[in-house]
Amino acid sequence: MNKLTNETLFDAIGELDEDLIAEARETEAVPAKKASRFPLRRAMSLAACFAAVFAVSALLLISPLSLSDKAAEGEVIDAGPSEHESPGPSQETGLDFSHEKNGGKDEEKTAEEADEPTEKVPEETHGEELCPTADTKSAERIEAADAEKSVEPVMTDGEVNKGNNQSSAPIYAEDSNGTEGKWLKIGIAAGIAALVTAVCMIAAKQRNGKDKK
Amino acid sequence: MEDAALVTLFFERNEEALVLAEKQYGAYCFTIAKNILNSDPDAEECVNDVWLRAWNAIPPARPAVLSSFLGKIARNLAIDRCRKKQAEKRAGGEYALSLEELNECTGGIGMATEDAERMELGAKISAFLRGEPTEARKIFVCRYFYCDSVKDIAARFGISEAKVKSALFRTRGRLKTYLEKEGIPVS
Repeated sequence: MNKLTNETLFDAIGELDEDLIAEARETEAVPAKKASRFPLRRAMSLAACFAAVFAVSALLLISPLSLSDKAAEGEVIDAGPSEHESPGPSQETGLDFSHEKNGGKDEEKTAEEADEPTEKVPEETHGEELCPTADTKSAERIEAADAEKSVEPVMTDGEVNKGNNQSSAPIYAEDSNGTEGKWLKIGIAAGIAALVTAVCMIAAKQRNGKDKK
Repeated sequence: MEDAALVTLFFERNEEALVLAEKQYGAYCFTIAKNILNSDPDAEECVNDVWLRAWNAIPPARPAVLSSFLGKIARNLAIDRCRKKQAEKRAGGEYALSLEELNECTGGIGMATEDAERMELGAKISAFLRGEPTEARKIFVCRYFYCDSVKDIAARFGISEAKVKSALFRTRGRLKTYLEKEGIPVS
């Protein structure tokens, strides 16, 4: 037999057994099966798309504060920021990290500006506030007290951020409302996810339409 | 109408057989010819030739599966037409014409041996395909007998085009090994 070429092989395939040839065309029903399976697969892919977008957008909406301040968190811990934290609001909002971070920045500043005064002064400054009649204050203590006063507002939710980070001020305003702010963010994330999913669905439909044409 | 009844009409030399065959398998043959020729007018001409060829072949042939039999005829006619067109494009009309004229003189014995070899090879490929998984076998036949596009095959079987290509690649590899084992030199 001569060496096999593409043409001879192609011709030989034309001599296949008739049952094999007929068998290959018996698969007409398969597309129908595929069609019945398709909605489920599409629904699953859309659900996965929604979940992914929701997760990402929720993460971006809620956590950027915590992410940006993670670096500062360590420094804050070193500076002993726990004294300045206002546990009340943070517990209500459930967004402890945001306070820690902003507080962390501010506390970082305080730690740099006045290392010792932050530890020494607070008790006495509180004492001054409680007992204004104390005459033994030194100029340093007064300054330290002023510095602490400038720090204290930072610990309150809304005011501190106005000074340090105005762009995130509205978010803090929402946080101060308690869990409503959190739910609002989740709602926004869900809305974004729904929007993206809808766009994906429309794009898929258009693509299917083009394929059919 | 069932294939057996249609074949009986052919054997009775009843011209109704041609009308019925065209009605029943016209689209099927047209698809095969169109896949190969990629031209509607050429495919239509090819299909018209199929009925004449079938009329001359039955009898003596008694096909078990009439659709496959007609499909084979349509495929062979389409390939011949395709090659003729390619030859005309390559070397001009006169060269192709002169070759065809000479083929009439020398083709008798050569054609017979070629046909025998082709039949033998076809039987071996059939035997190989019977040992293959059903889906791989069907994909192979769709691609290389019916000349369906990969996209069409993927749609037909409800699988991705990548899977079709992968299945074809593997089947070709196994076919090559099989043919080498059978003593057929593969280039």
